[in-house]
Amino acid sequence: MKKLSCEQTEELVVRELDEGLDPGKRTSLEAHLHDCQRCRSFAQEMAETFDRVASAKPLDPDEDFWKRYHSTLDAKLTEARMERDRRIPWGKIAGLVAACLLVAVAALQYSGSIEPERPAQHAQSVVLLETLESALGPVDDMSGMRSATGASEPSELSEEVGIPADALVMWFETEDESDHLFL
Amino acid sequence: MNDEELVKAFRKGDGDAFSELVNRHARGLTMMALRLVDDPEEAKDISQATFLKAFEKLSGFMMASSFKTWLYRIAVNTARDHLRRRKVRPTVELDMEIRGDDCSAQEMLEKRNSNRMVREAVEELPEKQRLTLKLRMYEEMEYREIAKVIGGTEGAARANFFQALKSLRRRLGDGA
Repeated sequence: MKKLSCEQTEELVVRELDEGLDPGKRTSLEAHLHDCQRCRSFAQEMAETFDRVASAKPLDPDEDFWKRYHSTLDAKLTEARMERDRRIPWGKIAGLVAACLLVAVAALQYSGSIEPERPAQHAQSVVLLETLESALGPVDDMSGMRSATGASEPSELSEEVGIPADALVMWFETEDESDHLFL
Repeated sequence: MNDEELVKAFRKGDGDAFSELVNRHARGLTMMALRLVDDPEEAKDISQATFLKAFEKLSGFMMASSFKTWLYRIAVNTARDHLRRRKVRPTVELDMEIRGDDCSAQEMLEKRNSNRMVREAVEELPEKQRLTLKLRMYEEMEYREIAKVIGGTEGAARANFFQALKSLRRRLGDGA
């Protein structure tokens, strides 16, 4: 059997009064109390304290108390229900509006209708078209074909600009792709 | 239906479900509040305020604990706030205390004095010790449940109970 210290004994005394001990621990406790006068006094005083505290428990209120309790609580809950029903659900409304706005903005951005204009890119495109017209001649409005008048052959243009004809064609193609990507 | 099913029914708009929850827990909750504040009218106010808070907050209750634990935790916090605001300690309800007892005038007086001393000594305890002692001795709550309601661990609740009784033994022993 394990010997208990006085500190352990105090804890076991309280536990025995509160919820009871298993037989093994109770035997250890009794053995220690048998040998220790100090802990015996502690156990006796603690048992008296425990009984006094337990008997100071206030009695339950009478039935009149419970009638008053339920009638006033019912009235308060009815008022709370009415208040809740009257209340405008601002939180839900705000959430709904915010969700609608988000969807609308997302839709507009996706369609590209609110994409900001890019002036620098626009100016760049105009310069490119002018260069094209000077190099290949103006576009015929009716046929969509370029007129021969004023058109420069790639070789002539390459001589003016100072780059090979093949590279010039590639440069135009690249610009076309670039325009397609940006616009 | 159990409490959790009633909570779900309330959330779906069944107003009677909350009334059923009130009927189930009103008495126990009010008695616990009475143990904590020692005044029936204050206990009634705390208990009713608890149900009103529960009514407002039930839609946000995550069911991490049982409904009862959640409700009692609201009540304990409401009682704590109430006790902090209260400047004057309650006078002992003598009529309640001696009602129904079949004893002589002398015995009645002695018991009344003893009870007053005990209650005053209990009120002097630190808050957690006082709450733990009352919930354990007067409400017979499990330590696990006490820990959930007032916060902390089961071990801490046991330690608080032990320390509370040791303090009371000393105080009541000195005054006896």
